[in-house]
Amino acid sequence: MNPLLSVRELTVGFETPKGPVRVVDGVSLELAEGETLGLVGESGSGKSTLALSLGRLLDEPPAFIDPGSRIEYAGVNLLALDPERLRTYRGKAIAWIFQDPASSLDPVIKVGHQIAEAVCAHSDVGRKAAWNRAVELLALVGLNDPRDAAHCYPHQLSGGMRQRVAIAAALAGEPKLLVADEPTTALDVTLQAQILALLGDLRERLGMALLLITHDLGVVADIADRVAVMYAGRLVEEGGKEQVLKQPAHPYTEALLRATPRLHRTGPRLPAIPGAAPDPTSWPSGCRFHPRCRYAWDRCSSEEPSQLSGETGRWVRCWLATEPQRRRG
Amino acid sequence: MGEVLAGYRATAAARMTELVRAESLVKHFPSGGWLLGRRPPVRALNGVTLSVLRGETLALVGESGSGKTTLARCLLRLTAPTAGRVVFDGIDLFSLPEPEIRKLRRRMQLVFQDPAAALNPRMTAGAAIREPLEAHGISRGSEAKARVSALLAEVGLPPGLAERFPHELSGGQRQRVVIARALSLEPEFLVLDEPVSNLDVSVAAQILNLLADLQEKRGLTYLLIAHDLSVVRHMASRVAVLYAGRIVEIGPCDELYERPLHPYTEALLSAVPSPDPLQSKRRVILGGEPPSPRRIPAGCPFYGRCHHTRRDDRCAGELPVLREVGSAHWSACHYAETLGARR
Ligand SMILES: Nc1ncnc2c1ncn2[C@@H]1O[C@H](COP(=O)(O)OP(=O)(O)OP(=O)(O)O)[C@@H](O)[C@H]1O
Ligand SMILES: Nc1ncnc2c1ncn2[C@@H]1O[C@H](COP(=O)(O)OP(=O)(O)OP(=O)(O)O)[C@@H](O)[C@H]1O
Ligand code: SF4
Ligand code: SF4
Ligand SMILES: [Mg+2]
Ligand SMILES: [Mg+2]
Repeated sequence: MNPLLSVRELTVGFETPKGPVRVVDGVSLELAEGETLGLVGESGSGKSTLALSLGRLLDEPPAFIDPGSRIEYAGVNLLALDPERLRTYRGKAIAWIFQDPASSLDPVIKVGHQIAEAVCAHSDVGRKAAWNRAVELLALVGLNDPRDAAHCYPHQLSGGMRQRVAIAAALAGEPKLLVADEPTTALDVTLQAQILALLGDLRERLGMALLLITHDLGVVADIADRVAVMYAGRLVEEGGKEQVLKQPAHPYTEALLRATPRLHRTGPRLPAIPGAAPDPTSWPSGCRFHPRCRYAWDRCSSEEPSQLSGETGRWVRCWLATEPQRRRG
Repeated sequence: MGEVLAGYRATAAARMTELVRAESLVKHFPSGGWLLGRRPPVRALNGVTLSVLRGETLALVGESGSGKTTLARCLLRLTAPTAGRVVFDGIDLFSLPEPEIRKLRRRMQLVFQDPAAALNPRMTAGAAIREPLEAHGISRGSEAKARVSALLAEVGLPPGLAERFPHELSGGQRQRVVIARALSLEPEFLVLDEPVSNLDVSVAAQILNLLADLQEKRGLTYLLIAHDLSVVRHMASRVAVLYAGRIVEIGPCDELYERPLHPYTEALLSAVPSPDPLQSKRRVILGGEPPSPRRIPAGCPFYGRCHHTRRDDRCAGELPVLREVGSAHWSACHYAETLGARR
């Protein structure tokens, strides 16, 4: 079976006064229908840039996508489409939700109208039908009084309700793939639990695939099927959720798991990762994680590892895969 | 091991003395002008009494809008309560004349959630740290410069960073500058309002370690506001759970996490996603919303969302008061005991 989304050697960068900077560098990934891929990684590693480039939502320039890149949706290379054709894919094939629901909602338009507008953009329906569909969508995302909520302006709703409205708007085109960029980071735990349960439920009922971007490994453990880990513009590891979270292959993933505070672990000192994330204007030589890696040896700083695979669907970009005995040292 | 630790912490806590005390704090925000009609006020705090002990970290947790920041602002005298008192080191904060307040101010500082907003974009990191020193007439000139370098070193930043502007710093570096600035006046009491919620996991871990080191070295007292309950577990000695402007549970951290005695705390804890994929969890997903702060119901404020099997008419009609249900462990649930017994 062909994957729903197939990204090949995607390189995205920005023109800056100091010259072009590649912040997503040769990323390849696949997503099957109905599947949830969790994309985790350090701040600045390129996750949002990757998410936006999937629909060419970045302003080009200053952004650019390398000509060798491919983004195939159901076998169609989106990067080869003219803007008119590409637009028909946005919202209907792929839809996005972002961390800050306020940014995607218009403060002076009733939320029902905003969703109805999105419905009209994707199908030939009258205003009345679109409004009714908007109310249905608000019910689908679990608002208690969808009819009342539709008549509200965004500021009359709580943060959790606004995030649900943003999800309802994203669902208006019945997308096959939802790209959710940190959809719960701004919310407190109880709302986060509600939204995650909602996303899980929608995925099941609508057969939607989900690309979930987060830096919270707990969120990944909650709803992802597979996990991809990003560091400094590269994917460094990919595998099934349980494999990656229980037996991380890449030292960055391992360190990230250790640095994550746990509900049932005490003691004030956390094993933090030393140093800081590298700057995209000057990625470190060799393996980009080597200045912060506890296992690094000379080969790591001179030669970059390629994607070394283990079982199917599981690979890591780390020399340890060839010399596992070094992991203890 | 957990129990030994809890016991140790509890006895250590008993020996500690009180630094800050809130007594029956009430804070109502009046509603906007007559144009909006006569809307009831926002009842942000509805009678909060608690003590922060010298050298401890007391965490304040609860949903957005539960009153955490408002409580912290009252404790720092940044906002006046509608009723109630705040006592800092034996001094009633709201009956003190202004010059005395200035002296007290130095002893308590606030570290904000958003380091970007806390720093003036046109001021270098060094100037930002030096400013309070000069404003309080503590040191100036080369002496102030030397103190800035010492503070930068203390928060783990290279001295050269003093010349940089906020936009030239990473999020973690900015938060370190904010902490250095707060430390410049050598306070005893620091309120940390979501100190790491805008930071990446690996940067957050570094900042949390820094805060723990500073506390140990300087004997600081922390009031930590955090919505991440895992962060709280690592940092706090005691935890207070706020719901609709009331404390619904307060107790030693380990004890409260292992054996929550209020259904709301239980729901909060069970909502935290764990990175251990195989950890099976009995989830309590809280539906609905907390009561509107303009219309807080009679009876238990948690009544509408409570999953406790014992919930009944008494809950709907009678406001549960905070009462001691374990050693130094208090709950405001009529049926706290049966919640614990069920597990
Ligand atoms: N318009 C732009 N011009 C130049 N650089 C940019 C631009 N937008 C983003 N970047 C840089 O690209 C890199 C990747 O940014 P991106 O937002 O994709 O990271 P991220 O992984 O989503 O991080 P976060 O977890 O903080 O959201 C960063 O170094 C960022 O500074
Ligand atoms: N200056 C103000 N005027 C009117 N209402 C206010 C004001 N400050 C806070 N409130 C209200 O008081 C209540 C408590 O707010 P507070 O900021 O203390 O909550 P919080 O627990 O800190 O929430 P969060 O987790 O979102 O920071 C909320 O309903 C809020 O809208
Ligand atoms: S290649 Fe070397 S430096 Fe890079 S992650 Fe693996 S062990 Fe560490
Ligand atoms: S008093 Fe009643 S409603 Fe309130 S938390 Fe306890 S059981 Fe639930
Ligand atoms: Mg991002
Ligand atoms: Mg707050």
